[in-house]
Amino acid sequence: MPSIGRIVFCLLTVGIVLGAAHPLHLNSVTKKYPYALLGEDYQILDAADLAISGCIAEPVPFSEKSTSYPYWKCFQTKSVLFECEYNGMQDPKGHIEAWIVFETTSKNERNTYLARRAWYLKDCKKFEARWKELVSNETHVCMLGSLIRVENGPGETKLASWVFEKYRTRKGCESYFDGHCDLKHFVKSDCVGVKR
Amino acid sequence: MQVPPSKTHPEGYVTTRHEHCARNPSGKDQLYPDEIQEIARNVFSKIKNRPCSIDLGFKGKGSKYDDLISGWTQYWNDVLHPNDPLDLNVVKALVASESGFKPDELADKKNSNSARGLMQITNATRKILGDEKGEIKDHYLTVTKNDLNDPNVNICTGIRWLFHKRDLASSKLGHQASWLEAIGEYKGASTAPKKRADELMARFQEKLNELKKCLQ
Repeated sequence: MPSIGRIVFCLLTVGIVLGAAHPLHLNSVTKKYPYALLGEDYQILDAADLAISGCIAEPVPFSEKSTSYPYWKCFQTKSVLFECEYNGMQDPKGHIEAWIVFETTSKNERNTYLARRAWYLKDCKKFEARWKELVSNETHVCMLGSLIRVENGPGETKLASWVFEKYRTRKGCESYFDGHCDLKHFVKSDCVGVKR
Repeated sequence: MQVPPSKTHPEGYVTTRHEHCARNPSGKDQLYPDEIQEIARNVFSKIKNRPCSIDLGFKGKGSKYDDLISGWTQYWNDVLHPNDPLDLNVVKALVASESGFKPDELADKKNSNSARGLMQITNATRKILGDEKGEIKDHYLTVTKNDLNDPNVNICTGIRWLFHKRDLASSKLGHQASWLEAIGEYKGASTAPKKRADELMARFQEKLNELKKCLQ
C-alpha cells in the first residue's frame, strides 16, 4: 500500500505535467508569431490565426501606441455581450443602421470591440444569430481587434476599445471583412507576414 | 462606351459606338473608369505634393497609394474649389482607418450593398454618384461594383464622395463643415451612439496625427 506521501507526490507530478500541456500549446502557437496573442488562448487558436495578424499590419509588441497590428484576446463567453446598437437613424432609403458591438468585462478591465461601419439592422441581426450559434455551449471566445485607445475608468478599471476584426470559438470563426477567417485569402494577395 | 444607369438598365451597361460624337446635353461632367485610368496614367506621376510617406504600420501597403491619393485629391480640389482644400493626409488617414490599405476588402459578402475597397464604397454610394437625377448635382462617376476593386477608381470615387458628405454635413450643421466633420459623416458617425462615434473618430484622428508629424 503506497504511503500518503507517495500518493501526493504522484498527484503533484501528474498535475504539473497536465499544467505544462497548456503552456506547450501556447509555445507552439506563439513561437513563430510572438506578438499576436495577449494572454491565454484556451486552445482555440492555431498558427494560421496568429499569422493573419501579420498580413493585416506589421507585427509589433503590444503598447497603447500600436494601433494598426491586430491582437487576439480571449474571454469567457459568459462575460461577452453582443449588441446591434442603433438609435433609429435611417439611411436615405429608410434602412435602419446598426453597429456591431461586443463588450466584455473581466477583472479590472472592460474591452469594447466596435465595427468600422454601420450595417443594416437586418444584417447585423444575422450576424448576431451566427454569434449565438458559435458561442453556444462554449466556455471561451477569442476576439481579434486593432487598438483604438485605452482609458482609465472608475476605480482602477482600464477601458480598452478596439476595431473589431473577427472572433473565433472552437466551433468556428466570423469576421468583419470577407475572407479574413482564412489564411488562404491573405496568401492570395501576397501577405508578407506569413513565415514558412 | 459606358452608358450611365437608367430605369431599364439600373447598373448601366457597356456598348460599342463607332465614330460617334458623344453628346452631353446636360453639360454636366461624367467620369468613367477608362478616363479615370487615363488621367492617373498621364498626370499623377508629375504631381509633387504628396501625403506623408510613413506607412502607419501597414508595411508594404501604407505608402503604396500615395500617388493616387495625391492625384485625386488635387483633381477634386481643382474641380470642386473648396474654400479650404482637402488635405492629402486626411485622405490617407481615411484609407488607413477604412481598409488598412487593402484594396480588395469587402465587408459582409452576404449583403449586396457591402462596402468595398480602399475607401469602403457601398453600392448605394456608387449609384448616387452616377445618378444625374439624384442628390448629386454635377461631377458624376459611372463605375461598376467590380470597378471599385481597382485602387485608382476606388480612391477617385471615395474622395468625390467625401466632398459630397461634406456638403451634407454642412447642410445638417447649418454652417460650412470642417473636413473632420465631413469624415464623421463619411463614417456614419452621425448615426452612431455618441460614445461609439467618438471611438470611430479617435481611430481616424490617431492616424491623422501620425501623418501630421511629417510636417514637424
